[in-house]
Order: sequence, then C-alpha cells, then structure tokens
Amino acid sequence: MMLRRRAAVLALAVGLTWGCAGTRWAPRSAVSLAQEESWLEAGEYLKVLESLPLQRIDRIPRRLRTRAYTLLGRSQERLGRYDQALLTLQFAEGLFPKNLEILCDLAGILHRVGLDDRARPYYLRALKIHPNNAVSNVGVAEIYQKQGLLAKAQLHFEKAMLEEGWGRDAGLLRSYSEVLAERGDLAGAMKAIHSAMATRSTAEDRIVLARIQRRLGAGEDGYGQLDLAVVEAPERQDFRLQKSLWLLEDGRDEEALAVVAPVLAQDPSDGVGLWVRGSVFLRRGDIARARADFAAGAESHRDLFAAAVCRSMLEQLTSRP
Amino acid sequence: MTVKLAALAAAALAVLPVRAAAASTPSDKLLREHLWREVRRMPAAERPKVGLVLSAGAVRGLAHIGVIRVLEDAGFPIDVVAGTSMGAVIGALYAGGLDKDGLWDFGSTLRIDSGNNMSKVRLLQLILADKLLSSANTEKRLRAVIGDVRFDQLRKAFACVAMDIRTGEKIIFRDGPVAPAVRASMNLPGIFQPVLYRHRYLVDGGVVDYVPVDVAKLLGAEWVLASVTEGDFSRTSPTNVLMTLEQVIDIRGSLLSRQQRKVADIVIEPEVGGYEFYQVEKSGEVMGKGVEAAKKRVEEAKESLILFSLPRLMRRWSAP
Repeated sequence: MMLRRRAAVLALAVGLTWGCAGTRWAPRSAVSLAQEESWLEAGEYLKVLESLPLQRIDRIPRRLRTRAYTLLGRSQERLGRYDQALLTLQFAEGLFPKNLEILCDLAGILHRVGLDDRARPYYLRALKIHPNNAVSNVGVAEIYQKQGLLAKAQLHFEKAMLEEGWGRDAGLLRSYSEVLAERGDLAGAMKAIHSAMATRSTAEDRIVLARIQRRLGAGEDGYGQLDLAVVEAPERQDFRLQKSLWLLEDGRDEEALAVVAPVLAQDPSDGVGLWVRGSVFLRRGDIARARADFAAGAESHRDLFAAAVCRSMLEQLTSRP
Repeated sequence: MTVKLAALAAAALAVLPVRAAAASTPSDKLLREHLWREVRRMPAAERPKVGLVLSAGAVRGLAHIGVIRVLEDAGFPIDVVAGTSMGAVIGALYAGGLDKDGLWDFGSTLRIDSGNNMSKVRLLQLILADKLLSSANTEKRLRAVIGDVRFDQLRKAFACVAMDIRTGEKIIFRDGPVAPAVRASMNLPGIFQPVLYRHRYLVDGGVVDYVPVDVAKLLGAEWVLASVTEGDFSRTSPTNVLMTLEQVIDIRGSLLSRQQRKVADIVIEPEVGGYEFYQVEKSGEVMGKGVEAAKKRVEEAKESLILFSLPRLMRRWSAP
C-alpha cells in the first residue's frame, strides 16, 4: 500500500516537471546558440542583438544563458555600444558572479574604455577563481603597467606567459619588454622583444627595440630599426617624428629637418612637425621663420601639448627685443 | 520581474559615466618625452628649482612614499623638500638620502608605536589621567635611518613645520639637528607631550600649515609639486576623543591648505581620505594609493615643468 502511494507521488512529480518544462522551453536538444556564434564570428553583430534580446535570454536553458549574455555583450561592444554592453554584462555578472567568461568580458570592456580602476577588481576576482587565467593576468598586468605598479605588472605578465601558447604571443611579449625596460632591466627587455620579433615582427616591435638600443648606447642601431619601421608602416608619421626628435637631440639639425619635411608636406599643421622645424630655425638664429612655425603650431589642435609648447615659445620670441 | 528591472536600472546607473579616457596623440607623447629629456639634461644651476611638498596626514601621509616612487622613476629632479607631520618624516628621510625602496621598507615596517611610547597602559593613562604620551621615539627612529644629521648635511634642501602651542606661531625649521625638528612637526597635540625645543613648546605643524608650499618657496623652489593626503572627514563620524581631535586637525588643516594648493603648480591627491590616522596595518595599501594617484598625473606634471622650463631651454638652444 505504502509502496503504491510513493510510486503515485513520484509519477505525479515527474509528470508535473515534464509539463512545466514543456510549457516554458523548447526540447533541450533543439536549443542552441550555434547560429549566434557564427554571426558573431562573421561580424554580423546586429543579427546577434536581434536574436538575443535580454527577455529571450531569460527564457533559454540555464546552461546556455551565460554564453548568451557573453555573445550579446561582445556584439554590443563591437558595435561601439559600450554602455549597452556594460549593462548586459553587469546584469549577467549579478546573476552569475563566478562565471569566468562574464567576469573577463566585463573587465575587458571596462579596461578598453579606460575605466581601469573599475576593471581591476573584476580581473582580480577572476584570478581568485582561476589564478592561471591568462586573459585576466594579461588584463590586470596591462592595468598595473598603466598605473605604474611595474613589479606587479611584470609578475602577472610572467604568470600569463606560463599558460600554453601565451608565451609566444607577440603583443604580450612586447608589453612585457616595455615593462622590463621601464624597470631598467634592459637586457631582459631586449630578450623579450627579440622573442616577440621571432614570431612576428611589426613596426611597433621595431620601435620598442630601437628605444632599448638607444638607451643601451647603440644609437645607430636604433636609427636603423626606426628606418625599417618607417618603411613597414609609411602611414605612421609618429615614427618619422620620433626620428626627427632623436636627430635634434643628437645635434643633427639638418637631418632632422629632412626627416620632418615629408610629415609637414602631408599635414602642414602637424604641431610636432612645426615645432621640430621651428626649433631648427631657432638654433640657426632664423628667428622670423622660427616664429612663423611656432605661430602655426600654436594654432593647430590648440588643446594638445605641442600647441602649448609652440605658444609658450612664440611668446618668448615675441617678448624678445 | 520587478527585481530584474531594478537590477537593470541599477546596472544602468552604474555605467552612466562611461566614456573613453582622454589621451594625447602619439606625436604629443614623443614631444613630451623629448623635452623631458632636455629638462633633465639641464645643469641644476640652469633649470628651475623643483620643490616637493608633503602634507600632514598621519598614516595617510605614507602615500607620499608612493608618490615619491613614481616621481623618482620618472626622473623628476627634486631640489627641495618641505613637509609637515608625516610629510616631515618622509621628507626628512628622502632628503637624507633614503631611496625609493628604502622608503617603501620604512613604510611597510611602520607600527603604531614606531615613533612613540604607546602601549595599552599608557593609552589608559592618557584617557583616565590626562597623561600625554611621548614622541621621543620618532627622533630615535630617524637617527637610526639617516643618522644624527643637521639640515645642512642633508642631500636635498629640507624644511619642516611645527606650531608653538603657547603663541600659535608657525615655526619653520631649516637649520640645526633634523631629528628634534621632525619630531616636533609630527607631535599630535592632545596625544603627545609638546616638545620643548629652542625655548618653545612645539606641536604638530598640521594645525598651522598642512601643505607647506610656502615653505618650499622659502627654500627657493620655483616650481612646486604638492602631495596632499587630507582625510575625508565628511565620511567619518568620530567615536572617541582621539579620532575627534584628529578630525578637528584635519578640518582645520584642510581649510588652511586651500590657498597653498592654489600656489602649487601640481597637486597630487592620493585617494586615502577614508583611512584612519592609526591604521598602520594598511601601510602597503596606502603607499599603493600614492603610486596610483601619482601615475595618473605624472605626465601632466612633466608637461607643467617642461612649460615652466621652456624659457631657459630656449636660451640654451639659441646660445651661439
């Protein structure tokens, strides 16, 4: 009798559960996010947004919900809708506070929009869950690097590099090299940047290498790397300006003038370019031309430092008898 | 559903201030680096005299150590140092030649009784019998680190501030032995006995000059960076005599420092307002706050000093 009653209760419970599930969700096997995944990969972010409104995510099976929030957040971010992406991920983080992917994505967006003070706690929470998580280690290392906590930055970069594949990541190695250089470990910095360049050499890597070489006293090697960087990335006028400033520093005024000429030919209002040329004129004693360049520099992009420098120098020249 | 809507609204409010951080262009950064090297290459006699001012602030003042660390890393050519209270202690050590790592060690090993004779019994005596504590250990500790030196023997020009409790005068120390002057500068009134020195009864200078920018100028500083570690008294409700006293000093100091802040060329304010004056166990955190705050403003500080130095740089560049 007892046994029969228990069986009836069990049958009722199973029936009720099945019934509820049937009214709320589609059969388990039918629900998938494969389509949204492929849209994200193909850059069709709007389709992801249309397919995954927050109300729908609330109704899909729990096992897929974290991924759905991540897909939605990433799509929103890639569309430049940072506020929406943060809204989505902060909401998801409230529901799944220990989900590594959500924590990392949330920290990542905050980091990328410059809100490092708010990103850091999320990365650190992710690292409490998974101390070797490379994404979080790199993220927090970059924040520490920016905030000047270089020893901590180095530590986290090194932890990240221990993870499979990350030790050969050229971007990570370059940042690591910059940290070591800033900490004065030029030999270590040199080794790291060479490792980065062994896998994939970019113009940015060459600039980092050139700076290390210059600090080590190998100035000509530094100029050589700069020249290669200019060839590899001709659109980067800042590389040319870097060279002109080094030449000016080394007293090679005529060469500085020659290097800055194409920069000013492309953009006659380039503040730094005008400053370099004006400075060469000033050193030559050609005050009229120096004044003209500083005046032009002072007027271009007035909120930039170069304009402030030109303005100050122009005032000095104007006040001279 | 209502709960979820509320959560969404809260999240929306939390992200309202989102915007990309302003940044200078790569070219601007290059120019700044270049001119910074030029400033650093100037002989000391030619470039502007650079002053570092360290405010009062008890344990909060340990953030100065983080600020100094960043300034040292950036290569700021600091010529003169002025400090009050904890700022005087850190300033004296720095001017005495302690490097950034030495300062960090000093901050990390600090205890509540490092500079005084505090104990449970003495605290009870202070509360029940009005028996003030002694800050004599401050002198001992300083001498142990930088020796029994006079102001003129320090590596950088240094001055600190105390107050004569009988006259209310601001007393600026810039000569004679360093240790008793620094002790007087961080001698909290109402907790430590006034220091009898040079015929005066001296207490903490934070009461009269919380951020001694004027003192740095007196030492010849032409360009001044001030590190200010005020308490956020709006957030705390004192619950005992000592906290009340400290808060009164902070409030007065904060009001007095308004004018001094305006005179400084750059003010760095580590976010340490929430730390209580006795929380030495949080020294690492506090010093880290100093690093963070300084790092955020160090490029701006460089730009300010570069612009200040430009007339002299131009004289060098255009010299025959």
